[in-house]
Amino acid sequence: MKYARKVTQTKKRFRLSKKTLLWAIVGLFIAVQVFFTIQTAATGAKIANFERKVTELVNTNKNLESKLVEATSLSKLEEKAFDLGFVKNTETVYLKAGVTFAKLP
Amino acid sequence: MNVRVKLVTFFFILSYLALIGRLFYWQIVKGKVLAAQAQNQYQSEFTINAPRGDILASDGTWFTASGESWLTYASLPDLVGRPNTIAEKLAPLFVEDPEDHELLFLEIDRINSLLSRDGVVWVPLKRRVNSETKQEIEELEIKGIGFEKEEQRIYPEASAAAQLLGFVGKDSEGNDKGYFGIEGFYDVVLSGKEGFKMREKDASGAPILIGATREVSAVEGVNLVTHVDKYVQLTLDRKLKLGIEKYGASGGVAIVMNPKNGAVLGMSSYPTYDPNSYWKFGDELFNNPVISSSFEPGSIFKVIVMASALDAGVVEPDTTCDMCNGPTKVDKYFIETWNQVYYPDSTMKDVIIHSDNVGMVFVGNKLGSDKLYGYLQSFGFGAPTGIDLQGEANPQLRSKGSWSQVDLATASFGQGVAVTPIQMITSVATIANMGIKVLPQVVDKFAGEGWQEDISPVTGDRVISEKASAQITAMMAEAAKSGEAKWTYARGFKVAGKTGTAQIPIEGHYDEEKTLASFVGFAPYDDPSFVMLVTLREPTSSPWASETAAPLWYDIAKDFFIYYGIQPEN
Repeated sequence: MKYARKVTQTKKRFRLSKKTLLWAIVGLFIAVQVFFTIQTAATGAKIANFERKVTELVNTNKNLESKLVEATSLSKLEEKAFDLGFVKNTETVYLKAGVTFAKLP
Repeated sequence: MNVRVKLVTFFFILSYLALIGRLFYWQIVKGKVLAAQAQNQYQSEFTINAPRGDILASDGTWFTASGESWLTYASLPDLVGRPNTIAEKLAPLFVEDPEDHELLFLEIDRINSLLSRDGVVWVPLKRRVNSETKQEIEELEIKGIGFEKEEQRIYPEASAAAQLLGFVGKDSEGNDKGYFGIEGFYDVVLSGKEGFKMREKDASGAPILIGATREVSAVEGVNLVTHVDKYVQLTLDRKLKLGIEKYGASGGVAIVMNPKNGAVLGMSSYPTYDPNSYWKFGDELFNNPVISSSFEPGSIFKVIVMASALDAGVVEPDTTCDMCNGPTKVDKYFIETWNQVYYPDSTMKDVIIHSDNVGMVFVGNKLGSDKLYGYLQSFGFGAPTGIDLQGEANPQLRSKGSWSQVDLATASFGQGVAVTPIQMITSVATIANMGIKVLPQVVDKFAGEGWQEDISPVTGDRVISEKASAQITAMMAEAAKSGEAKWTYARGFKVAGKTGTAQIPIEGHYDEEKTLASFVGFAPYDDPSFVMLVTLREPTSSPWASETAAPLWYDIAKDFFIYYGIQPEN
């Protein structure tokens, strides 16, 4: 008697065991953690860099403001005007309204 | 057990004990120190600066601003080199004039003694070092010399308005504190509040964002926008100084106010100081005499008494004085006119024009001491004006009901009463403001980053009627035009004014020679742009206000006529 060989075709199903799944999730978390830690560390350096720039800008701003304060000093402006030969008028002449002057012929 | 096993066991036990002992040492004995060291490595703490607010003129330019300077210090353990060699290098950069050898040697000695101190790690060497000097010191490359940033107050107009502004010094704990004037009065508003930041850092010093962070934000000081006009202020400063020199006075004050809202447009006094280097000047210069010194006003006070009498209805401008034909006797004293010239049957207008003491005794008698006291109180005498400056004095009036006939008589022409210049100008501003009192105000607005808050002027009650105000204004206008200072009158300009020459009381009697010369007035009298008081202390060229304070008043006013666009009549 011939034995008929019964061939059954079974599909190979990929099944994750719970253990593997757990390790995969843990691995994912670790990767994410490492990624964010690197990102955060890099951001910290960026922030430090920005802060340095902010400090520089604040200092520059302060210096410019000091120069502006000095430049808008009316006392110093008066001194400078005097040094340049400007003289304040000593007499003011008031003209009557309606009086014509430098009239064209 | 053989001996070798025992020895090994003993050795292990000993090793464990040694390890435990070492661990105990590091964890328990040295634990706190190491923890602190570790914390220093991974934790950074720093304060966030809060700059002091600026004080601005009415046009937005600076009267004071916050700059930066450096504190130079020495860290003695890190110092390399002999103290005297370092002192010789630093001293020329610390003294104002390196050519002044005496000062230079003193500075070398000072630095040397500081650097040679025992038992000290950190020594401050010099405060307020500017950035240029700092750079020069850095170029010397002296190890152990460092810098700490500190805030410095800058006063770009130097001594202009010094007594109005005040200055910033240190309190007992070494913190910045405003003294006198605006800096003192608004110290809390101007002072910022420092912030604080603590966070963890990595080995390179960059912040660890996921680490512990604690931050308290800094609150910046508020800027103050004043009513003070720089042009007015600088004109007052310059002309007052020239006037004091010209008339040989020992000092003087000048104030300009807007009578319509009490805005102080300028306030000057001389002698003064430079707030940039206040420590080089004597304490006596820090007080602002405009608000803190009292004086007997003399004849400028007559306009207040006359205004009161007109308002009370006890006299009219054409009321005649029936006792003005000679000196009058009050109790055991004879009251005379300032020049011993008498005008019988003077009207009240004449009394003001001639600045007639006898005529004012007549007015005082008509008014009576109780009514006069009430009016003086309403005008603001006997109480502080409430001006927003630190250090206002409050000379008291003689209490109600205790006025003798002599007190009433002398008060009517401005003797025996003490007032401050700010009280005096405020009361004349009331007359100029049609009888309604205004309170003097220096600061107009609080301002911060993107915001402003207006401080409304404070208007008081009506003190005298509009009619009385117009009557006394007309008298003052006539006094300016035809009084003893008529020679200096600015023709064509509508000036209402009054001179006042007061004797100076010294130890219970009046000095025979020294006087206080004043002129108070406003212009144009029908729509005043400004009211101004000028007072000169002990002028020597002439004791009379008509020859000193009055010409100075007009000299200053002529500039203001142009500045405010005040045109002469006709």
